This record gives sequence, structure tokens and C-alpha cells, in this order.
Amino acid sequence: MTTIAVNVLQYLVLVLSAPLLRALIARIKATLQRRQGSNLWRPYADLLKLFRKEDLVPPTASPLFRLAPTVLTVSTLVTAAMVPTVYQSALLGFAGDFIVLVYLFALGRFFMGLGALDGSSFAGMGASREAMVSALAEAPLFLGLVAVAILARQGNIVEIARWTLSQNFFDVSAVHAVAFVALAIVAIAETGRMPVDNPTTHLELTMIHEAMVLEYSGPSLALIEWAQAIKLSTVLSLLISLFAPWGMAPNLALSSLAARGGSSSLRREPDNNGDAHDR
Amino acid sequence: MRFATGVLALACASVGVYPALLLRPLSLVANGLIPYGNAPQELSVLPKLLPILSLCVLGAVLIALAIPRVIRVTAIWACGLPQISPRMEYTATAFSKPLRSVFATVYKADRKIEVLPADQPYFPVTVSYRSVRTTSFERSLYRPAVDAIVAAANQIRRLHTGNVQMYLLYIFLTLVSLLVVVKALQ
Repeated sequence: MTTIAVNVLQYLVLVLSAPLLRALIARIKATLQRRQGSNLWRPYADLLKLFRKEDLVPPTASPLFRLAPTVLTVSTLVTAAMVPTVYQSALLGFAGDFIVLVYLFALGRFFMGLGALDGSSFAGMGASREAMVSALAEAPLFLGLVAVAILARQGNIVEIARWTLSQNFFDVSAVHAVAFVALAIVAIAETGRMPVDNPTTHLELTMIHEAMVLEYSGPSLALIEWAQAIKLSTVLSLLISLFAPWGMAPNLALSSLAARGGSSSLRREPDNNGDAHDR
Repeated sequence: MRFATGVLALACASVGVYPALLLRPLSLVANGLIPYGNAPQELSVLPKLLPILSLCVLGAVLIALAIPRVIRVTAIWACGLPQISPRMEYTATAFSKPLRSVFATVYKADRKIEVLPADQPYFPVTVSYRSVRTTSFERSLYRPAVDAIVAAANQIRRLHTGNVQMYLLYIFLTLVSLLVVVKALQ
């Protein structure tokens, strides 16, 4: 019972803090560029504003256009339930869940591509580029996950995290190192960040994901933005739980959970720092 | 026409959501073929998985549908042209362009763009685009092998004159050469 409560709690924290993580990355980027940066709560204000606006739909759009953001959000919400963050269990854990995770990402992307084809040519261009990136990134993502799963002899993200947790830190195998490098590159491509894509670009010709969602507005755009933020958090949490779960709470005592929360936020910052540094 | 594709799509979706339907009979067949084979352990997880996943999906769909939406149909930016037209739609060829660029070294494309009339490149009347793609394997491995076999077959075809006396001569020559070989081996 307590485990379920903790699972629900860590799921909610992951889902609801996702925009904050994005703001944190933007803040670190701004600091690196000697700018002041925007408020940390701005993504929430943006989401609220978008949710209150009306949904503009092109006259050429089919029902798929309106369905796509919902499918993206739903699939991303389900993937977020599969990764452990503070406690070594997840809301949705089963044998082979990482396979479902990969293909839920693909499902959301597929529907976004279909929705984009209903809009202008620029959206189609973005969709075709996104399809290219995901076609190239899917194989390494899958290979990296399978490599770690074979190493741990577990087919379950939580079990892999537990196995890694029981290993000696200095006993890291070459498979781990290579898989981590591959998955880190794939994570950049999957979440659409520099140098694969630039989420803050303003020029349509250089856009990938932003061009694909060009025709969306209002609540649809809010759902897409939120789903993207959750995806970033999920992928980073996945990387952390597969390769560096040290610090994950071993038991349900409040103190160890709090310690994990602290170390988790500390650990994320270097990740973001590296990401921001890339730009 | 849609019925056939619809049935296939439905089968895909149902097998994808609940693969145990198909996996159980398949594993039974596999057990008969492979010694010491047994059903994969993942099969036992599948029935547990289905309600969890469907509950998640249902809940999330409800949440997504609960968000109030005011919808307004409005014209979109037509890239500077008066209005958007079906000719501006993204085609399958255009959609696959990035992937084709990535794999250009493997699939060496044979492209040809013809703009008519040729003396007025900025005011074309017709533009035709032709693109043929074959894999490098087909070009450098299969094609030469097939060509060599066809060339050899063309040479051998000269023997087939259609003349019965010629064929009798072949039989006679074969018989004589076989006798010579047998004699030589003894």
C-alpha cells in the first residue's frame, strides 16, 4: 500500500515538475550566456495561458489533427509511469517494459507526424525531418537498452536499476560505458535538443519539432509542450536509473526518500549543464 | 477496398494490444519443432499487463478530453501565396526526402528534372521529375551476376539449333566421350 502511494507520488512529481526542469535548463543556459533568464515558473504560466486560449484549426485539418496532441500526451504520460525516480519501483513495471517505452515514444511521434500533414507545407517538412531523426535514433536507443538489459539479465527498468544499484561503482563494464554514450546521444535526438534540434529556434527552415507543431495553438499546443517536457524528464530519469541509480532510496523511510530527492536534483543539474553547454 | 485494409489494421491493433492470442498457438508450434523449447516467460505477464495499460490509457484519454476547448476554424499561413491549395500538400516523395538524403550513399539515386520550355527556366510550363533508386547491392552484386548468367545462357543457346540430326550428333558425341573417359579410368 505504501509502495503504491510512493509510486503515485513519484509519478506525480515527475509529471508535474517536468515544465520546471525545462525552465531550469533555460535558466542555466541563460546564466552561461551571462543573461538574467526568465522566471522559473514561467512554463507553468505559459501552459495556463495556452489552456485558456481558443484552439485554432486549419480548414484542411481532419479529426486526426485534433487527436494527435491527445495521443502524444497519453503515450508520454504512460511512459512516465514506467521509470523509477526517487524510489526503486515504478507505477507501471513489467517484464519488457522498456520495449513498450520505446514504442510509446514512437506512437506519439507517429500521430504528431500525421497531424502535421494536415497543416501547411512547413508542418509537413517538420514531420518528415522528425520521422528521419526518429528512424535513425530508434535503433541505437533500442540497442542501448537491450545491451543494458542483457548485462543485468532483467527485462524490467526497475529491476535493471536495482541490479545496477547492487553493483560496485568502480566495477563498470565497457558495455555500460558504451551504452551510456549511445543513449546520451539518442536522448538528445529524442528530446529534440541541440545539436540535433533547437527548441528555441525562430526560423522555420531550421526547425524540426517546432515546425511539426507549427499549426497547433491553444490547449493543443499546451498539451504538446507539456508532453515534450514530460518526455525530457522521463528520458533523463531513464538514463539516471539505468546508469547511475546510486542514491535511490533503498527503503521507504522518509529520510532516505528526502536524501534521494536532494541528490536527484543535484544530479540533474550537471546533466542540464552539459546540455546547455552544447549550445 | 477499405474493408480489406480495415480488417488488417484491426488485426494489427488487436494482436498488438493482446499478443497472447497469437503467441500461445505459435509457441505450441515452436515447442513441437525445437527440442527442450518452452513458452517464453513474457507470456505470463501479458494478461496482467492488459488491464493496467488499458486503465492508464483510459484515464489519460479522459483527462485529455476533459480539458475545455474552444475551436475556431481559421485560414493558415500559405507560405506567402494567396491561399493554400492541394498542390502544396506534402507528398510521400517529399516526406521521404530527408531519409533518402541520409541514405544517398547506399541508394545512389538516378534523378532527372526536366523543365519545359528549356529557354524559359523561370516561367516553366511543365516540370517533370523522375527518380529511380536501386540499392548498391543490386547494382554491384546481383546485377553483374545476373548479367553473367544471361550472357552464358545466350552463348549456350547457340547449341539449340532445333535440328534433330544435330541433337543425335550431340548424343553420339556424348556417348563416345563417356566411353573414352570410362576406358581411360580403367
